[in-house]
Amino acid sequence: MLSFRTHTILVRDTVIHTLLTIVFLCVSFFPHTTHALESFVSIRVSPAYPSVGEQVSITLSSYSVDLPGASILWYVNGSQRASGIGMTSLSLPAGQAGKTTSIRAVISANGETIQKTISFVPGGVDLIWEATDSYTPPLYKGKALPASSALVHVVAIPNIVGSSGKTVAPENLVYTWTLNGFKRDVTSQSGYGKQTLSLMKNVLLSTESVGVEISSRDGSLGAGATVSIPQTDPEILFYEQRPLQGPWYGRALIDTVTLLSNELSLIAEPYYFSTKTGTPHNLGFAWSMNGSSISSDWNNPHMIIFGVPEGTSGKATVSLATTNPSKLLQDAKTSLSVIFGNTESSSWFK
Amino acid sequence: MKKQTLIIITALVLVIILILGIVFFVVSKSTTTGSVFPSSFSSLFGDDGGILGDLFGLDDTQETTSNEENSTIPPGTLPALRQLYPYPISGMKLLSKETTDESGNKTRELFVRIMERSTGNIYDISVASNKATRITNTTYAETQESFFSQDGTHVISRSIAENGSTVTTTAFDIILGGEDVTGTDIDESIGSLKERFSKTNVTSLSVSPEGTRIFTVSDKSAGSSHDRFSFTDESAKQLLSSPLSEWISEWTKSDTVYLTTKPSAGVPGYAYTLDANTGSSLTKLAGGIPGMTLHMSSKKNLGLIGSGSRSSLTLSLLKDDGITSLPLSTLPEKCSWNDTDTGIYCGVPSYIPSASYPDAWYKGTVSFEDNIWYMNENTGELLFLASPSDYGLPSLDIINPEIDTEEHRLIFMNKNDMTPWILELDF
Repeated sequence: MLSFRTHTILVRDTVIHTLLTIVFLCVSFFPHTTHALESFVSIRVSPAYPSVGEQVSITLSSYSVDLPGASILWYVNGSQRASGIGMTSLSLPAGQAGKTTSIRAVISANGETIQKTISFVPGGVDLIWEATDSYTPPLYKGKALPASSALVHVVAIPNIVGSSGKTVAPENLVYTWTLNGFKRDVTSQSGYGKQTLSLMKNVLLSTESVGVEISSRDGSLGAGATVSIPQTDPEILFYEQRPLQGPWYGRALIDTVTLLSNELSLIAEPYYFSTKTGTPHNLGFAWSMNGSSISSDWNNPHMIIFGVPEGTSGKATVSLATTNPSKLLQDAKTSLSVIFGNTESSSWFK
Repeated sequence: MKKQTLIIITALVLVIILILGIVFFVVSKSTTTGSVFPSSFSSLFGDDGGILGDLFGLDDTQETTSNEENSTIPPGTLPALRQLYPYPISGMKLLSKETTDESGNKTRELFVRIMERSTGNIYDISVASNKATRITNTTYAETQESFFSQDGTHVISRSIAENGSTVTTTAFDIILGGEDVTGTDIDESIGSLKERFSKTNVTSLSVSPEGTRIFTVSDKSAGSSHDRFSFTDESAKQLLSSPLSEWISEWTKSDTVYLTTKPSAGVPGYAYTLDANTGSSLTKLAGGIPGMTLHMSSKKNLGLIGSGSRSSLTLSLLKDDGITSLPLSTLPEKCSWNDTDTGIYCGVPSYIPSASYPDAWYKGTVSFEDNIWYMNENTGELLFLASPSDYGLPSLDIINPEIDTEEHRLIFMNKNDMTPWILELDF
């Protein structure tokens, strides 16, 4: 039989043990509760790879935490930026390339406080396309546009700055290409260092969309962009080939012209036809004068010389139809009315 | 009857006076153009339809006899806006030289050095008197573009080969009369061009601001090579190899070359900088601008950005803190920055025809009728300077403008006929 003193000691020890257990359980359980709540709230950056200066949206979402009724504080790089009840999103411009922006959201809901953080590093990528087989005259300062079935190269020029502050070389990035929203048709052209996408303009689509997402090898840096590639019709423009001065590209001959000399040397430039050689010599040129077919220089089929005999005058219509034997959907026609001298002879060209 | 006869005689006299008056008006109109060749006469009889009007107003047969000194117009009677030379040129440079008169007084004389398009001959044209003096007689026909060095002693010219496709770029030394560099018996009264080197496949070329170095973009398989060399040494340093080919280059700052993608209406364009000494990689300057063209200043980080689309041209100012639209609808290449980069002198179309820009202008299907404006970049002040119609002149489509350092003279070419012009601003 226990003495009174021994019984008292036992009761005391039991109470202390029980209290400690309760405290232990509370201390150990409470953090788990907070961690569980945080996992029920997600934070997202949109776009995932913002470009420099682009408007970025940070959004909170949850299926179990009452965010609309929660008090939310937003911090950007440690400084409070905004606050409000139910303020589940924050919008701000992306900073400089390579400079990390850290976002922290402090959410107070149902007596609990949750923190969510996310960061992003702005990068950038320019998508520039070129119709590589599209013909334009020498020294032409404008862009060559793609006709149907033209060969187009799209090049990604990235501006991704690493944590060292140095720009990441384009060949050290991973490129994922899409064509008209799909990866499947261009999978083989995606990958490490694959900065260029090649495609042939789809004859059925007047505009095609090319997209790229680029990322560093560890996925920590990235950027994305999309570009639309239009389709244009080839066109023929006439220019005067002046003796000792060459082609007079500054002024195209259109509609009607008046000839003041007795000779006209015409050069026809077939803009935007696809050529393999960079010259128009592989194209088909069918010249006619007042509806009758005439022949041109075999070596330079896109040039023709008209001589006006003395004493002749009148008006003649010069027409040209150009075709591309290797791309049948590329063709164009044009004509020019030429008013000249005095009419006495039927021979107007040589 | 006597009365009837008198009336008839009076009517005849009036008709004769009217005819003489018309003839006098036309002749006086041709002399006020400032050109010693009345080109307006040929245009009177050559008008036709079409957006560009008469296209054959110039008499090409004159070019075989044009290679002589022009007659001079007494100083002080020259109109402020005038044609400097009546025949097409491929390039020009505003220069100055010191002259000493009989009394030993030294003066600074301004002149414009040109390369005649049809012959390749170099002429110096006095700004004060419009006198054209041929200084080289080496024939180099069909020059399309020419770029002079800063001191005018070298020129690089571009021409199109007979096949109509190959562009040949050739650098020359300009050997002045009296400089016997070959040891042979040469005419000391006139100089010559000495070919230094020649290149093909150059798609864009620009000269450094100090006028001694040349930057080129050349086609290669799958892209382009961007190289730097000098007027006297063709060994090139490659600054960049690019997977893209369609670049327009501009070199206005000593250490920086600007590269812009070739423009088309509505297509996003991009501009980058390239270190002219080390090359290596491109740094983005601006981008995503439809139909983008660019003309940078020489000292400050300022630029003019043009944007083109269907039926519109807009001009904006690029600064470090962003892009600001300007109240002038024109292309950057029709403008010249002044020496302090505080103002621009521009040819501004009086109206913009409906077309896609800048494509239509580059193709020559559209020609502008420009007025000349000045804009202060700091204050935004706009100042109307001149209109060709105020001088009874035909329309001018201004290209390659260059303002002198004192801002007293603006020289430019007229795209319609590729002749050089000048606007004197201190009048």
